[in-house]
Amino acid sequence: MKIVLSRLAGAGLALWLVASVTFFVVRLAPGDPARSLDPAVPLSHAETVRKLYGLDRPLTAQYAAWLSGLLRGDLGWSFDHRRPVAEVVATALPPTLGLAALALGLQYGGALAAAAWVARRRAPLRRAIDTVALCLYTLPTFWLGLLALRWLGHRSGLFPTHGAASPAALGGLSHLADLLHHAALPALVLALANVGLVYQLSESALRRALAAPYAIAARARGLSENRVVWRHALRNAVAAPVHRLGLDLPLLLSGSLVIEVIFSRPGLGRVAHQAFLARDLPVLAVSATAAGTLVVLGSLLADALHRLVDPRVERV
Amino acid sequence: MRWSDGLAVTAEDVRWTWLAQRHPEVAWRYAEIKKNIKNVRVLGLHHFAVEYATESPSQLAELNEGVILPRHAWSALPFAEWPRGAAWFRDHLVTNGPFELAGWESQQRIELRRNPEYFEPDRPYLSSVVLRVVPLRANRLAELEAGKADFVSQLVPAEVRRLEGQPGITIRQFWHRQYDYLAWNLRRPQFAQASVRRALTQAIDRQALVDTVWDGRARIGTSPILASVWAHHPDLEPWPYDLSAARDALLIAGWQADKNGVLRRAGRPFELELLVNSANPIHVDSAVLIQTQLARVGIEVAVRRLDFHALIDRLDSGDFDGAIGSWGIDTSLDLGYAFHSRSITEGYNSGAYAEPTVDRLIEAAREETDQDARREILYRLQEILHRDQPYAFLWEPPRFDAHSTRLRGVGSNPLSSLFRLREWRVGHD
Repeated sequence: MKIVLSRLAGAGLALWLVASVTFFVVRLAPGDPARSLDPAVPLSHAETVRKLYGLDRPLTAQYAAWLSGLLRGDLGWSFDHRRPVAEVVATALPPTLGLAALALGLQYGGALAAAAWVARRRAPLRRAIDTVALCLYTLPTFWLGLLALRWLGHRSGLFPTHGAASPAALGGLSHLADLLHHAALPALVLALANVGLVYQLSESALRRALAAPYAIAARARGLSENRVVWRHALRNAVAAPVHRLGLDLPLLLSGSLVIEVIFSRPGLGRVAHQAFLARDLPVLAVSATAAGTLVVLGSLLADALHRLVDPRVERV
Repeated sequence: MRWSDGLAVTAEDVRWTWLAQRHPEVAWRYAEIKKNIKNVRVLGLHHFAVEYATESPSQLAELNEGVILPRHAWSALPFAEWPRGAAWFRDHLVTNGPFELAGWESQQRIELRRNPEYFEPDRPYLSSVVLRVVPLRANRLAELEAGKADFVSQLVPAEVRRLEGQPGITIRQFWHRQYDYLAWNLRRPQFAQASVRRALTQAIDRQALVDTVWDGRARIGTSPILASVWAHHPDLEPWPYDLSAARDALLIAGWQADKNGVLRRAGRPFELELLVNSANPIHVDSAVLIQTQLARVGIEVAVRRLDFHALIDRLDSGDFDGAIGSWGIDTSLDLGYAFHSRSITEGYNSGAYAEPTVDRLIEAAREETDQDARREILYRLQEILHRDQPYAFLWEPPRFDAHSTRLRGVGSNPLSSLFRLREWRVGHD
């Protein structure tokens, strides 16, 4: 309990730091969101906009108002979308999280299954698959995405090329199937771009586990190799990739920006990018804070999962 | 004419729209355009009179700016709540155009359907239109080529090359209301003399720029009033690319080449930093070409690619030597935004160009209602700007749209790529 409380306190402090640094970096960056570049709009209009959004107040007062708003759950007002930031983020977050979850599932499921399969194969095949994993890891996500979109989307028509769902309203399971159909290709690209590292971690950990005395003892007791791998070795081998899982969360968020642009999907990445271009400070600050929150939560999640799969951690 | 909820569009709507447009709490960005309108009086159901403070050639444009709003539906929301009323307006949407909103999804699409109350019989031809957001340029083209989209706007020359000759695709080219320029900062001593600025223009091979970045499809600029506009001065010729004339003019201004060919005056080299928006590949390519071209006369150019907002900050603070930019012009032909000395502090005259005759002519053009007399004023203005070269006018770009051949009646023009959407139809002649 003491450990949990201390971790939560640390996370709270980290979040406050992330939110504060984000606010000042965003606010002090070049660019005036109130400024219009239309010759028909007088410069005096910028004063009106500044007053409207409280940008005419001292920076410290703006910070205090923003932070107290955050604590009250009021994320502010978007200059660009002209609606509450909470609404903008609430609309954009589900498709991003859905895509990230699917990609994580594919990435970790695929990596662990491949590692378990390869662990029992001969060295030349292992080396060949290692090379493939390394190649996948080095490929830029945008290149992989463009290639997949061209061949599996536009050319073959197997997957949708645009959006997160069909415009026609579907209900129940059809809607779920439609969402999955739209997310499948982007999630696959995102997973492929990151699967290499997880595979390498899993495969080397699994090989070490299979050479450990308890695995030899299990074989000596007459257990099948399948049972040794899946029941005994894998559980010990997953600690390293699972620890990595928490750290992958924010990476997937940044990766999803590229994917959202390539596949014209809605999401937080695109919202943040648009906010940067439009200097939509409240949205930008909240998006960056959300990314920071994911780093902190990812770190907490990594610790929790590590403890779950490896009871020895409790005793340290 | 009726609103989409069936009620008539009336003169009361027009008056109430004017009240909303100029209301300080609404904070409409174009409110300034309405400042000359003193009153809008309702004379009958569909008749109204407009009273102006002063006579001006832009009266119709001043009245026409913005759209008529539905008083019966929107007067329920106090003006003070308009700036934060997007959600309310969305829930109370009433329109009077050829289409009405059928649905929308943030970052994804806007769906329009035919407005059955539209006043023109049989229009629009299309029963529905879907406007899709496709952030990646390459995907827009791929969607058109795959037959998943019918219309794509604002192509760049490389995309035009890719689509040209493809069966089932038509490319439309038309002159846009934009010109691109290189602005000099006249606060800097090296750009203070008009003869030096003319020499710089003559040292830039604008035809080579147009050939390279626009595939030769743009036209070289001579003035801020575009060649397709009635008041464009027909006798102004672009300053020719003439390195020897440029060198002579620079020599007279005191700039002499050292043994390395670098121009120097009082021991100081002629060097300049050229700012360019990093997100505009045409401007970035042009800046690099200009860097090479000006090196031929001994001027060292450092190209600085900046994020758009950082670029604007530098221009606003007057902290630059030269910058490449674009302006889109409107029908008022008011050149005050960039060339009146008052705009140094109150407008977009970033280079601090100040010429009393130009100020007087700009003010006269704002008030002159006789078209021939106004043309003469604008001609004189263009002659002075051509002589003074506060900007090196680079080019007037065309705009390219592409659509599938099954789409008929497409009338893209400088006002809008979707101009007269009500006339678009699907089918073959």
